[in-house]
Amino acid sequence: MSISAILKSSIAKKWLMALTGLFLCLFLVGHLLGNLQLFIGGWDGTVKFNEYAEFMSSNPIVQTVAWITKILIGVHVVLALLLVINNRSARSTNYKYNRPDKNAKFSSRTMGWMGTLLLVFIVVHLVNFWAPMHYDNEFPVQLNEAGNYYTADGIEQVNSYLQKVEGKQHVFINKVDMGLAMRDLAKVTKDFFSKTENGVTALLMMILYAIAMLAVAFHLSHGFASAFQSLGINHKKYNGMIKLAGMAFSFIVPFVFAAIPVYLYVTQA
Amino acid sequence: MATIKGMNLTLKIWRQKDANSKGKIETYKVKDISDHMSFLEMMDVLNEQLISENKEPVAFDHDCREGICGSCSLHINGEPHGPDRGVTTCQLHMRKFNSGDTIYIEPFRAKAFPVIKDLVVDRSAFDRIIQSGGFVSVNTSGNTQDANALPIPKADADKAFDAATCIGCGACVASCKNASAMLFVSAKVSQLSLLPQGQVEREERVLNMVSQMDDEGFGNCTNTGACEVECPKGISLENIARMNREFLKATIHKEE
Repeated sequence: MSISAILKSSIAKKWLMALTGLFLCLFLVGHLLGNLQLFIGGWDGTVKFNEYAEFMSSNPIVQTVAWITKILIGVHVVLALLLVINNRSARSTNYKYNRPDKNAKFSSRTMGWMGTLLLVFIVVHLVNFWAPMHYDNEFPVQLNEAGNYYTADGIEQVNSYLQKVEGKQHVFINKVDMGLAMRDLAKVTKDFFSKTENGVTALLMMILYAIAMLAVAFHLSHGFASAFQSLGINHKKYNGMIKLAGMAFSFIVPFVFAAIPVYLYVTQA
Repeated sequence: MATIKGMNLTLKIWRQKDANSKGKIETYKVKDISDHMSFLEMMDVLNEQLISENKEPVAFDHDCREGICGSCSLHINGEPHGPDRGVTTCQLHMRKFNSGDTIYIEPFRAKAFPVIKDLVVDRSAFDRIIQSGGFVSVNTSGNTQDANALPIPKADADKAFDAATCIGCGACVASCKNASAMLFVSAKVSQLSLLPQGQVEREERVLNMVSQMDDEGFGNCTNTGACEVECPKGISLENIARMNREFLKATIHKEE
């Protein structure tokens, strides 16, 4: 079969959907493990999380994987659109009376809708944190009680001050450039969900994030196990395991994700 | 013998003069329907009534009325072959309904299954998919081979037989939110790929059948499992996974 014929085929599209979907599941695990550090309180937690954030936004391997993730989200979305257009046209006249609830689960029938909700959330989430971190030259930087700044490698610079070099915030000691300042993503994140810092927006965002994670839960509760079926992995011996793993994954991952904004909102003044 | 319950029903039936007309739902009433009747016998009663009123009877597909030919269809109260499980419309009994019920009866809906008249749809897309699967090579030199001379594992024979029970009625397409024909095609692919007799054309068969399925305008599979629930023969989703595997293997392996 030629490559174009393969890509035209319905089954090939499903493989790609499944493979990109499973890759994005791996991404969720990685993202969640990193975010767990937001549960660590105090100065220690702030330092740990900021060091982690600086590592993630500078390490070339991580950055490559991040771009691959963004591209694969795009592939997943474009394929979904192609599939939906194709599926809609496959039934030009709808039933006057239909009971899809009699033969299929809600989560399986709403993959497109939940996916759309997720895409909107991803954009909102990137605008909230990723975009300012990468493009805002006034992004808050880490400053300890003694009034010292930190360089991005995590070293405290005593008697330091900030100065812009080519628009970026650098740490200086006695007019010597010590390097890029460590940005304070931990504070930004915590303030974002803080009643005093962000007012009613904090509450609305917490609710939005929780709803988005509910969409993740529904999307995964069908998508995870379904990906295996699409790839042709359907075997009496392993079906139970895949189903159980899918259920656990689709419950635990979004639940812990959602717990972070809720925790930050509830525990902060 | 149980007493025959007379049921009075309101029927909302899709009427369409021919393939090019715009159809609509018409309402009919039938009285004294026995709960022993099959759904199609109830339709016969309605048609007798319509004929006696000098009206056009409702066209619907049927043949054996034994649940094995795959001719009968009908989307009844939102489900292909009605609310019962593991039966075709001809085997659906009126005891599954109650007097006073309103029953919606529509044709199977899919772009690949155009309505010919009323409840009759053209399912020849399935025939073309079968044709695209081609032939099975048979050795015709010398004596006829004994069927039992080819050893087949019991589990494979069972699975092949289960897949072969597909009667091609199209309920899978009708129930699928995407009007996908994957359950049907996968049953036909599985049936032969599991048996030694089907090995010679194994790769061509799956590639050609899937390609024909896509060309006919059926949708894609979202693994909702609706087809498996509504299938009167209980064809399993396992077959779709097998078809996906067969397609993958053939795509990678075949040179042209």
